[in-house]
Amino acid sequence: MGLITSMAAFWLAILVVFVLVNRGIWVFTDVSKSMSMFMLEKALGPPIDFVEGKRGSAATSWIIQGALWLIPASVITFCGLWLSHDPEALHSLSSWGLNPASTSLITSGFLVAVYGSVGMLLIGSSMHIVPELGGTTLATEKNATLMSFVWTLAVFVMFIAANKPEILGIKVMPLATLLSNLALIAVIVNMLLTAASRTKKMPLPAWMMIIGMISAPVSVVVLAITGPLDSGSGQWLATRMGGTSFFLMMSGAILYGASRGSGNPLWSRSLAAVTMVGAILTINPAGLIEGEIASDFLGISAASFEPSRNDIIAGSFLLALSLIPIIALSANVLATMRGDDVFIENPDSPGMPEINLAAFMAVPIAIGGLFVLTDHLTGTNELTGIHTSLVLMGVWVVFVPASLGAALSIFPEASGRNVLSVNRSRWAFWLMAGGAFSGLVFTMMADFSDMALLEAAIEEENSTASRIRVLGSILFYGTVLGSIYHSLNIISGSFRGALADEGPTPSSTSISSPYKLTKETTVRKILAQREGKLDTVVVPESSTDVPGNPTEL
Amino acid sequence: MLVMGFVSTMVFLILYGILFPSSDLPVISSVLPVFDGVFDSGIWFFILGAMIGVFAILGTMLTEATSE
Repeated sequence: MGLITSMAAFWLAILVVFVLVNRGIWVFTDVSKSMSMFMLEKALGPPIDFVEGKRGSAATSWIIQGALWLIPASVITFCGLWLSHDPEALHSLSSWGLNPASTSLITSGFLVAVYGSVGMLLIGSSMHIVPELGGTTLATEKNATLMSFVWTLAVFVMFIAANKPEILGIKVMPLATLLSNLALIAVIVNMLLTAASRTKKMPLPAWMMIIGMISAPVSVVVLAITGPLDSGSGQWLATRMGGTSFFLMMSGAILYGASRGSGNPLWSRSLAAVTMVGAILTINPAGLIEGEIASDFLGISAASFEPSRNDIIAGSFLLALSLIPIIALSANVLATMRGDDVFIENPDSPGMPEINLAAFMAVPIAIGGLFVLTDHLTGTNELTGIHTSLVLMGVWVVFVPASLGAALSIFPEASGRNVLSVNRSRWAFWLMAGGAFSGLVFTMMADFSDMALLEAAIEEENSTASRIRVLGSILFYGTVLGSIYHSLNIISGSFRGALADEGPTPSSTSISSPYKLTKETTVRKILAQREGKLDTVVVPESSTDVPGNPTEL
Repeated sequence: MLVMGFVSTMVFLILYGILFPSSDLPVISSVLPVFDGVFDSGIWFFILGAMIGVFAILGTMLTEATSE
């Protein structure tokens, strides 16, 4: 079955899910609700009593674990980048039976970053965002907290699987898939129960997060039913749909985070709708270009990628269209953060610089992804040399900052405390963003250099590229330091950060204005709108419109 | 305390060098050869830095949880 048929089946499945979530399952709605609630709590027996059910505990638990996963993710990626220019650097680990190679470390670093950090931060954020926007509480905090540990275990197994695919003849990656899907299904049911108890119309960011979560298992089921899962095109499409799932969740999180962090309303609901519908209808460029990772996850044999002519045309077309939701998201987030004037609101607020960076970088990296993916889809494969650097850049400059930024902006509300230090948060941002961007740009330069020599069929070792790779990997170490700073800040903040309900100290002075303001504003905003003047105009009280006459003597 | 520890370590090492010239340091001289050929790449300095960071987080969690 062709690519477009599989996509059509996916669109139909998502539409059916959306309608069912909104309308319920006819007379079975109440039965399914009570049975799901039973399965999430009481059916689990004693383990459910190991975790607390306090409001916000689930979101906090997921967010803290997601932040902690940033450290191994960045360290593993750093080691992978280092080994690309010094393959023998970790040879002493061979005495423990470990023989790490650059490619396996970069792949495992990618998986830990995506599933450990980004996945956990986004799911944690959704556990605050969905109930908040629905005017309700999370259906079960206990189950959600418990599932965070199952997910963490799944990521750990995933890391082992990326470095040692088989242990005692058993494939390890499907075990990670099983564990992560177990946790994901529990989280999805939890979210659906939460959405079912909403007391008001739920805005789009919450729907994006729910649909994003559901689309991951739905896409695999659709591809399995329609048949192409054992073909190269089907596995490639499954990888792309995984990217769609993360993109939708990230969109919901940063749209909410940008609005909440800046204090401005969402700039455009229409653009949010374009982002959501567009992400589902198109093929997202996020993620690895090859479909091999999907076959690893599912424990099936990897098929060679041989798309038909129709698949190439449909795939290229849908890939190009994916820029529309990405640009819509970027514009909406940036405009929301700016609000009414030319400045970003609360630029020092933890999370805001990260969201700004992600929204800013999403478009150029997506364009780069389109070039590389279209090149791969058409079988040209001239740009695959920069694929790894581009994917890492997408993760560390778009997805990680976006998910971390959203999590940081909602952390005070979820945990009840602010992060320990705004200053440390700012340092962490610069270290992380600067390290990831500069380190990966240098690595990409080395990739281009290698590609040029390969094309010229020069067999000598490229010493220039090797030196640039050294610089790239050392610069990337800033990301490791930034991850440690962020984690320390969040953990210390959860213990002794300022209480979130302590509002900002009101100013002792106020400006009495003759103008009626529809809402509170600042002098900066008035000046930025070019309406205000600093020159005070003094008008005498006794002045009249009657023309003056000479004084009679 | 850190300064005092550093100064007393230096004093001890200098004193040892004067009292027992050309003698290896006890314990340390036996342990160091174990690491020969292990930390022979610059990557280990960076990994050491990351490990200090991880221990800082563990230490923070322990001290925060047990304070008061």
